[in-house]
Amino acid sequence: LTPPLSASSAKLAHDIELVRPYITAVNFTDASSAHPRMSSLACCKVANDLNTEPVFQIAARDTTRIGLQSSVIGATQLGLKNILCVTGDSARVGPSPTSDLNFVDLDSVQMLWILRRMRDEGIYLDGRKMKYPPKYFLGAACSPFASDPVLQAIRDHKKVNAGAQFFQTNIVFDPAGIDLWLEALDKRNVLSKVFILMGVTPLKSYKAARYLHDKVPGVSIPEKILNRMEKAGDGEAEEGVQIALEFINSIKNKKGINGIHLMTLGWEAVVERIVKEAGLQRAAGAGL
Amino acid sequence: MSGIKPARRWQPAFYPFKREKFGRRLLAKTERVVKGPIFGCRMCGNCLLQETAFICPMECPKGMRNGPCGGVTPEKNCYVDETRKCVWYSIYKRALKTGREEKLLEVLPPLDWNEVGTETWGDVLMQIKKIGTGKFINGLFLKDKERKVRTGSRFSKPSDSRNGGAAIRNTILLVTVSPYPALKGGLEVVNLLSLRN
Repeated sequence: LTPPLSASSAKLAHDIELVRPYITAVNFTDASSAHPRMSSLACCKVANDLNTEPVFQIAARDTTRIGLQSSVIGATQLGLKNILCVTGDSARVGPSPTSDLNFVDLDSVQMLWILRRMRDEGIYLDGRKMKYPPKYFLGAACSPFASDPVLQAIRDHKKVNAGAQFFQTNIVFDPAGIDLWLEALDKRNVLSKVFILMGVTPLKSYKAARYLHDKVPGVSIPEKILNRMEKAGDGEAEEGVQIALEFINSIKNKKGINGIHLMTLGWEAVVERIVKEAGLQRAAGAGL
Repeated sequence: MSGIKPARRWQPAFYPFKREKFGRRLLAKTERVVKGPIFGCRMCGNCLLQETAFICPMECPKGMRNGPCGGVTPEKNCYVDETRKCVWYSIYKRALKTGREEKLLEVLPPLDWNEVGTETWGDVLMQIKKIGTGKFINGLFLKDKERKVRTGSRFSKPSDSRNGGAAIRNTILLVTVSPYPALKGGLEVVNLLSLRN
């Protein structure tokens, strides 16, 4: 779910209630596309209070090594069990005036490494022991179609080494490319060490598809799908749902894929339909 | 591809936070002048050229020290600045070509800002002094991986300390290997499940 733009959580709570019967967990982005929104931590608290399992996302862009360690300790205290480490979009894609583009304090791999050591070895980054180490399930994002699926697999292997236990992929549309990526991961023998949730989004309109393709880093939509959306005319929303369903069906039984991460981009009402029509089961780990 | 990639410095170089002794200042200046044009060195003081196939990743506008981000454009360019190639793409390509793939899997800890802007050559010189020039040069050309590890670990101290970063202070001359061997291999799924429930 996308966190609300302002301080009211009424719509957020409504959306959570709407999707809750169909999902295993809800993921809240941390100021995605470098646009300020309600913080992931606050949204997770709302979801937790509504008995829905949240995934707490931390963007390295907005955190330093000190802030990271404090916020995960705080998150454990709030009862959040899943933490997703991402580097975050560069501030350049956000609104101006642009903040420091040269952010070098941490990247996602280093975050995973710090958090894993905090949990497993019970030490801070500097090596001091802590009395009650935090407990969580660590996740990372991956983007199979940025540059080359085989090269990205090397980085994903590194993330597993650093401590990632589940992967949420960026929005993907091309099952053939996924095969390449999964094969590369399989060769590296990491498929058994990590749970992979594929990022699927139902396209609401041709305009939205074009925006995702052109403006969102790391997302590319094949020409074929863009054409389908364009031709659909008034029925474009329906076409988008069909594309998502076809994609889910084509990847459902692939080795290594453990679940779906449905990115609704503000279209929560569609979750029920997709989960039901794709024949996904909650136990199978359909995330959101 | 040439042995080294002549690089420009995209972002300004760092200066140390505190005033250093004359010797270190001189070394730092020399390093800046030499490594600047060759690697586009920004004097991060935590040199990792060894691990990154001798292309400096500090060129990355997102400050990624552990591999490319998920936003590389289909033309393999950087999405923050589309006029330049993704530096990590070049690193991966060269590392695969020259058989340094193993090194890409090492987790490189965050920058130690205490070292930023200072020289890294002094340490190398000290280490050469400690183990002897002959042994050091031999170590560079060792084919046997195991012995290489031993020669390497003798002059890099993996057990360090302050913020996990100082152990990585190897320079282009060092033959250090995996400072954090425990990271290799990942975790068992069984553990993951038990934690999850």
